[in-house]
Amino acid sequence: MDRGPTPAATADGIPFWRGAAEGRFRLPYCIACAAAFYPPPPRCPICLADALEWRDVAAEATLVEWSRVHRGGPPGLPSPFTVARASVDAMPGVTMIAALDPAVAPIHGMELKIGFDSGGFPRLTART
Amino acid sequence: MTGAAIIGLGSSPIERGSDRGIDAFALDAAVAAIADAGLSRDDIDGYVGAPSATAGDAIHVDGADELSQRLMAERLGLRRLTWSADLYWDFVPGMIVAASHALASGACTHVLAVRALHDLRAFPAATPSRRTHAYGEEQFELPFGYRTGGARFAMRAGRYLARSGATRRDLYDVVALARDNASRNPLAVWRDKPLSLDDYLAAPMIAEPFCLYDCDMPVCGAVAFVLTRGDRALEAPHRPVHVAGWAGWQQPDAIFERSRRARADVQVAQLYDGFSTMMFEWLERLGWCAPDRGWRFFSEGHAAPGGTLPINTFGGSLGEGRLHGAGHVREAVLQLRGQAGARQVARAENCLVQVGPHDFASLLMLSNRSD
Repeated sequence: MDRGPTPAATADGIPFWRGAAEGRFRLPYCIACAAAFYPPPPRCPICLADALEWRDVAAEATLVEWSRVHRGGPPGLPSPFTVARASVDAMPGVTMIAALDPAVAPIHGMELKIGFDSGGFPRLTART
Repeated sequence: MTGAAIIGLGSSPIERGSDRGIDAFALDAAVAAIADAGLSRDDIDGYVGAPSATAGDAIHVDGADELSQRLMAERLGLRRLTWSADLYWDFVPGMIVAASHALASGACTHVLAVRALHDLRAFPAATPSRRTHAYGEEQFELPFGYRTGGARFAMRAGRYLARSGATRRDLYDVVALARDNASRNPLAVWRDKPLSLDDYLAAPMIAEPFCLYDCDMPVCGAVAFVLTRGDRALEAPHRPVHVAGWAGWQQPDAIFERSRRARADVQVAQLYDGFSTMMFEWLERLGWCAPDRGWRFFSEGHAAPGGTLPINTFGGSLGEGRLHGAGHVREAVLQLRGQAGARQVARAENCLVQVGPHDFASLLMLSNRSD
């Protein structure tokens, strides 16, 4: 597996990357607003509370948009590759950018699974 | 009305790569703009820039791919600045707004505004970041190449095409119009280089649905403006171009209310076209087109010279080169002065300028009428 740039996580992101390394998809929740966010913010963007609670979330998502990139690429990610945005099914309004499994023939609105590659990066694969 | 007017305009040549530095290009533009305003550098007591380098692998070095107010003042020998600012991430319309506010506050009387870009040969603009660690927002984007080759905008473009029914054949209409307009702009890097549909469809893909020609060409170049208060502008050698109104991307409709001008009062527009699909959504958001119909404005000819609303009459970034909106504001001034030559829009009184993508932009209404 190609290794991309290493995330230089701040305190807000560390729980996400730790979970990812264990293959767990976790998001920070604001209890008061009953909402989760991604990327992980320092405060709830709705009520600005700073007490966010990390919870395991069903790793299911829907493909919003993608692009097959033919030129360039960050270190460890040679082209061509496909980058995608998917919405997290368990939390309306939350989307994430991730690599799309090259085996997937993308269609807007298709169901996907959120997994993690050997480097701990999110990767969208076909739902089986 | 802000009470400010653009009275001086200067441009450097535009080159795809150059041995000349960013400061040389900026001085070309600044010296020309001050002379065009009928002033000398000692009349300049205000300065504004927006010097950020936009390339993914930018080195952000003063005098290399960026140019600070400090270095610009030194190079130009400015000694009388009473107000100056570098707005860094902002776009050229935002520079014009800041200059207008500084003039209205009485902080200064003549503001020089400069935007320069340089495509360093060792760090070409098309190269993605080579950073091995992903900091900040990049933490959740860079490992997946989200900002490579315009992928961020390509993803949105692909969704727009699927939703609206537009195809790459329709994107060709946008690029072909840019090339046609560029043929009447002596500065444009793509002047006299028409593009056939076959050549467009055969071009290498960058980030689907964008091919090479859907992306603007990184260039070296600079544009400079001189502004003063409207009551002093009549002393200037050229017809003043008034800053009639402005808006940010979150409330773009405010441009009409603030400028006291309606859509029907706008004869010509300059809209940001760093990628070929970008103008569609702005035409929709500003009310010229219904949602998901912006692409038809081009395919039906409304954006062409003689159309309902000629757009990017100088070729835009896709035809002229990537000056990050500086060319758009320059063209607005030329159109409103009546100095656009073969590409002049008849009876142009008001020009709307929008610079930036869907999620971050600044807008200006420029006018040759002071009311």
